[in-house]
Amino acid sequence: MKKILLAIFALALTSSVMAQNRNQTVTFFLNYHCSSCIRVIERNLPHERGVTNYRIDMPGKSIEITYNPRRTNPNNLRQALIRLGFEVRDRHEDIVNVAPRRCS
Amino acid sequence: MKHIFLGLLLLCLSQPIFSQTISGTVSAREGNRNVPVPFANVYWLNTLSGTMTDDNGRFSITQTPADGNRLVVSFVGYTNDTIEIRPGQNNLRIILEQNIMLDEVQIVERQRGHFIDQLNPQRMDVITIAGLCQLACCNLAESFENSATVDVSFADAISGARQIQMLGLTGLHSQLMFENMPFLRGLSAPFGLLYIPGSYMESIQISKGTASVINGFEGLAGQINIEYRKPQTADPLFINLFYDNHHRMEANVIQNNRINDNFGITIFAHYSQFQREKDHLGEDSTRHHGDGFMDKPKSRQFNMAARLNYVDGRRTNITTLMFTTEDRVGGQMSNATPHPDFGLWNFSNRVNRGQIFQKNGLLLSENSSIGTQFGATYMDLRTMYGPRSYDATEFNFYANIIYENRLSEGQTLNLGASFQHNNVEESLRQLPIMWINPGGPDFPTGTTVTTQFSKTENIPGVFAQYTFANDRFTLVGGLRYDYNTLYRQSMITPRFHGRLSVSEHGTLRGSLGRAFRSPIPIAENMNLLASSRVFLFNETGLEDAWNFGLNYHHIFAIDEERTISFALGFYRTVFRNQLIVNLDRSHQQVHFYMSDERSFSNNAQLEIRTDLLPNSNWVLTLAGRYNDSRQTIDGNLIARPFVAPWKFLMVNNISNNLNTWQLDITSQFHGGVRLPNTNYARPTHSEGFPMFHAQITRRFRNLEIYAGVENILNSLQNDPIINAHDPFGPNFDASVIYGSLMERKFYIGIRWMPFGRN
Repeated sequence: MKKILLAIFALALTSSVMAQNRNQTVTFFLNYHCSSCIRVIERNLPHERGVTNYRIDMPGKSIEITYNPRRTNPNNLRQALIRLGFEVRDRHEDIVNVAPRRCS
Repeated sequence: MKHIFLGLLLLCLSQPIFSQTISGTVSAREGNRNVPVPFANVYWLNTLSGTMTDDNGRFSITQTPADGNRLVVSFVGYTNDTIEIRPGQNNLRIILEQNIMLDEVQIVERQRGHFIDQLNPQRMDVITIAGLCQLACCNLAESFENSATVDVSFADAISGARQIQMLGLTGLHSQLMFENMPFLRGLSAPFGLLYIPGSYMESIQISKGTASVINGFEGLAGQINIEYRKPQTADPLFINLFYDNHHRMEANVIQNNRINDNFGITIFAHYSQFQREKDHLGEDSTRHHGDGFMDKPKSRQFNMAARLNYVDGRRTNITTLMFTTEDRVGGQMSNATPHPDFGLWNFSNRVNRGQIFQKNGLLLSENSSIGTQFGATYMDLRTMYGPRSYDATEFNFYANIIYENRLSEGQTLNLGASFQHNNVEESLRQLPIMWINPGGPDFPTGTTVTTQFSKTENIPGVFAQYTFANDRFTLVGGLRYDYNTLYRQSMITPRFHGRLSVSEHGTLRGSLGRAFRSPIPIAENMNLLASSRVFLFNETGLEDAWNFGLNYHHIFAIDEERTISFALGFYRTVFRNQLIVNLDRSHQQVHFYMSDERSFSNNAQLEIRTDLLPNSNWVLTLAGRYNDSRQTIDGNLIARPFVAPWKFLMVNNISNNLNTWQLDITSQFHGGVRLPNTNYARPTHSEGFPMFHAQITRRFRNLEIYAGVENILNSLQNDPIINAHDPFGPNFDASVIYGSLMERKFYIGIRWMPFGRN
């Protein structure tokens, strides 16, 4: 039983590593408000189709998403972030004057 | 940055119930001048509450208890600043530093399952929701498997009750708190840990040593504070189902209604059952598996809670209602051979418990606030252990009022008063067996001997606490006076805590304090009813002890994304007066008496935690603990029974980048313990044993599936019951437990959030 579980786990790890070779990245700028915004992303973004990794830079107001281009595209990812309540911009200077996301 | 986001669920323990407004300005250095920064974000770390600076860089922000004390200021192009707001600080002047490497990506760290709170003056381990999800954690008793600080063991081989230990002392010396209010006391001691479903909890905070005087005169070895899920953060609907190969099943439903920004209601419900008779442990006379006793009682538990939260800028009201009912049936298997006179040796336990907790905070002015806490418990316990039955009812009431005033920057004064009322009515009935009433009159068959006990105590108290804090140094000094009307005794409780930042990454903490406790001998030692030991009582009194502790915590950066932390701690407890539960004078008796003879417990613990992979993808925790816990028994200073000197722990938490797969492996080694007098039916010391658990979790958008194995090696105490073939005889004893009674267990569970994650 333990071996099976380990094998499944190893498979999951390696498949995600192998997939990264052909992956692409995209950077969006978001109107983060507080760490609750981070929590919302952490709990939802991993389950978007095609997302393989992401890095959040809160002071820089950005998110860098790595994705599999066969399974999704930047526009889908943008829509996913909008569904989580964010305003999404492509340039740093465009997000500065946007009101922060409402969290409560 | 890493430290800033060290945890996503920090809860402020030191300032639990006040709400106040903090204002200040945010500016940035330009040349030699500070220029105000408009539109900077100012928010409490890990909360929903935040604000922005105005045109002149000014802001004011409300601090409620849920906010914690870490304020984050962020503005594009500048380095984030996190400020710990100490009691008394206001009119902050925050100067942001220009971020010279704008394109450097800063990683926000994932929530860790278990961490050490760095800023609190008291050393505190925090188990978060992520930590609770690493193991089956069906209830509070099962939530400490990854903790080196708290030991959990089976109390006896009959009832399924669990006991905890901290600092080499039984859990009775630790204060169990529900959101900083006294919780599992008195009659709740034997089974109370099993009445807190794992799914209800958002986090558990464990602190060693005595706590602040605000929380009372108890809590000698430490405090375990649990927090339930809150309307602000809980998912709209959470459903948890659990099943294991022993056919135990469990369902938890948590429904959350956030009515508006200020008001929310959360409803919790739990049902669990285990209904199979199983007898694998022990051996019968023909050396076959099974000693004729169920390994675990059949049980059914229903549990409900509801909480109402109201929070606005000035006011906080949190009301929590809880109700628990549980039935346990165990003892001899129904197919065992009954005793000709007394029938089967049966165990049953029925508990009904209702509780209400209320917490209110009101801001009086910019510098002062007032808080109140109320708690009331009614509990009814009917239990039978073979020839003895024990029924008890308990009513207790707790009130605490706290006034806080910020004297000046960095100095805070707390004043308050508390009142406790405890009433316990107990009756112990015993069948007229010769060994129970040695030398007693000859009872006609069918009669029972009943002993009644009643204890009512009122404990009024007053306290004062002074806090001095600056960036490097915190000192908290407190004193309280309480009077116990039952023992007509005054209790003077001084407590001190200090924290010193030795360097940027090193923190030294110390604590010193006195604690008292009013014992309830039978309820607290109910597991001894699972033996033929005769209970012999002497007068009881208040327990009185001192505790001293010292801690050092250091974090080193391995590289940009990985850290290693060391935590080393020493604690010493010395009793001045103690209730001795003497199991050594005779193997057929237990003597309860007060003693002021030498009794102490020393504890040393080292914990190392490191990232083996960046981004918390693989976190390794290693811990070791040594206890030297001794008391004077009939003139000899000997080790406390059932206290393991050594414990080692290794925990691996491995996950992929997106945290959609997770593997958690826990390895433990529990050292051998000294056993009480069993008239050589068992050795004087037990052997240590290892224990391994593993769990794998897969997370989907609205669903999490977890499956795991507990006790992989199936290490078991094979002979848990002494004289199982003669349970009504004088040498029967099912309370000598020094190993695991849980057979290897495979389990699977789901966590389903049908309306998404919050």
